[in-house]
Amino acid sequence: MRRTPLYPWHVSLGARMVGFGGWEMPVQVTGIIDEHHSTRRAAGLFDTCHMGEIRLRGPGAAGTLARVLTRPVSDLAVGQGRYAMMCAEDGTVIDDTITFRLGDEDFWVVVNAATREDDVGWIESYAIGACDVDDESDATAKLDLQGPAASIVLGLLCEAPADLACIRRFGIVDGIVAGIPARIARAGYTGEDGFEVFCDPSRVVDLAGAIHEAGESHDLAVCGLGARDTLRLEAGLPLYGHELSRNRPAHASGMGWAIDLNARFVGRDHLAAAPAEILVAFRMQGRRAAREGDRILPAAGGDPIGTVSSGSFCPTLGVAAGLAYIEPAHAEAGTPVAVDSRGKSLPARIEKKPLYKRGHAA
Amino acid sequence: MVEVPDDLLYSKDHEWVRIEGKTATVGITDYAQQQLGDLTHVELPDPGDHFNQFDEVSVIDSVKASSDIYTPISGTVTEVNSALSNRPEAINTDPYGDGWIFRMEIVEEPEEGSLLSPAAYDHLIDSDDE
Repeated sequence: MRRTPLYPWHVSLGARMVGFGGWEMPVQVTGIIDEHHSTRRAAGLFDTCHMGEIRLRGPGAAGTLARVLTRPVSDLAVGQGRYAMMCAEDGTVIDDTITFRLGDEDFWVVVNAATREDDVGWIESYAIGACDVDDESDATAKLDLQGPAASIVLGLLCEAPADLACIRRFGIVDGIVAGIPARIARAGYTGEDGFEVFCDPSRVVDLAGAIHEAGESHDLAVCGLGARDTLRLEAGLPLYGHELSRNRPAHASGMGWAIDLNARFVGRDHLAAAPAEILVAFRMQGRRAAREGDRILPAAGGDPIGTVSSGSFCPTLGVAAGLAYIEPAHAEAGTPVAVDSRGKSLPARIEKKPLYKRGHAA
Repeated sequence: MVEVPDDLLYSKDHEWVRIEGKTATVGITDYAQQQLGDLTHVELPDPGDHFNQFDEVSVIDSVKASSDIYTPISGTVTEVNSALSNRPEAINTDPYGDGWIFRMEIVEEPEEGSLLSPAAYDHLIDSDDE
């Protein structure tokens, strides 16, 4: 199993380490619920060094990405990024990505840890024109700083840019944080404002230490993947391998906004017909969680109408909730359903995504 | 770091049992609660339910996972810790005290060797961690 450069730092903080996508990562540092609340109320710092970064450079870069992403990036301004999926020929999902434009012919695709090697091969196989495809993952460390106090904490350390307000959502700039050259993007995976900070792996322990120290007086928590999962679940964000996979077409995810059917990308022809099941949020009546793979039935009984893709107790909501794939006829918000979990039928209700929206009461 | 009181017996599934005459009090061990992390829900059995040794009795939820709880002893449930419905985290903070889960009237003594002594349980969790 691989380790990020921050492994000894996690261990020194008392984190519990687990395997995730071939990497030994912290699942929690102090406790998932505390870390979750700290991120919603103040700030959370996450090690995301395991994620991949693929660089495409050359006159063919934009054209290559137009073939492999569910929406084009050729109209992106330099310094801006965009979420998209990568489809197989059959329209199922190879990965989900954020692609940043670093220069006219220079793009940076941030991808999931477990999929990045396949992604590189896939992009190379569809490369057109003069386009260099480089896997920069091993040369790139990444920290996510998320939460309402993220901009304050990062601002304390940021020598450049002078003002983080110049980075809009999905914007990216090169800067210097705590004396360390860093690429700063305003993005994240928690439903909060926040930043993804990229730097050289040899400097990331210093960077994490500096952010941790600067965040101390702002109630920053160092977080593991457990809190990352509950935060993204409340925010309705899909996780590759759970909501998105080679088993379902990209448009079943309900992220039609991330798919441009006028573009000519690989897999597009399979995304015209309505999917058999679509992704919805659900909320349990109580604290007992439904789990991935649990079947969903009509409240009145009958044959299964869907399957849970992710389920957990959600700390901000105070109840268990999750995401599920369900037949469109039963997908309307408010529909009562039953989840068959470990031999017990648990009452639940279909909800509008996301379950949590920043600045709104949960 | 992990507490293993020496006046209890243990199961390989990380439950503890305190036997006082015909009464058995059952919970999950300190090691188990540390492994599970923040507990969020405990499904309690009903008083009067009868279980054989190592039957599934309830389901315990942490943020990350749902796990079955097995009874380390055969008996009839006499009392459940209903305070856990609102405060499942009592299992995290006090697994051998406020975090007890249910009590049983023992109908059959556990078979010799079916439960672990504190020393044997200590050894089990040591080898789990390797």
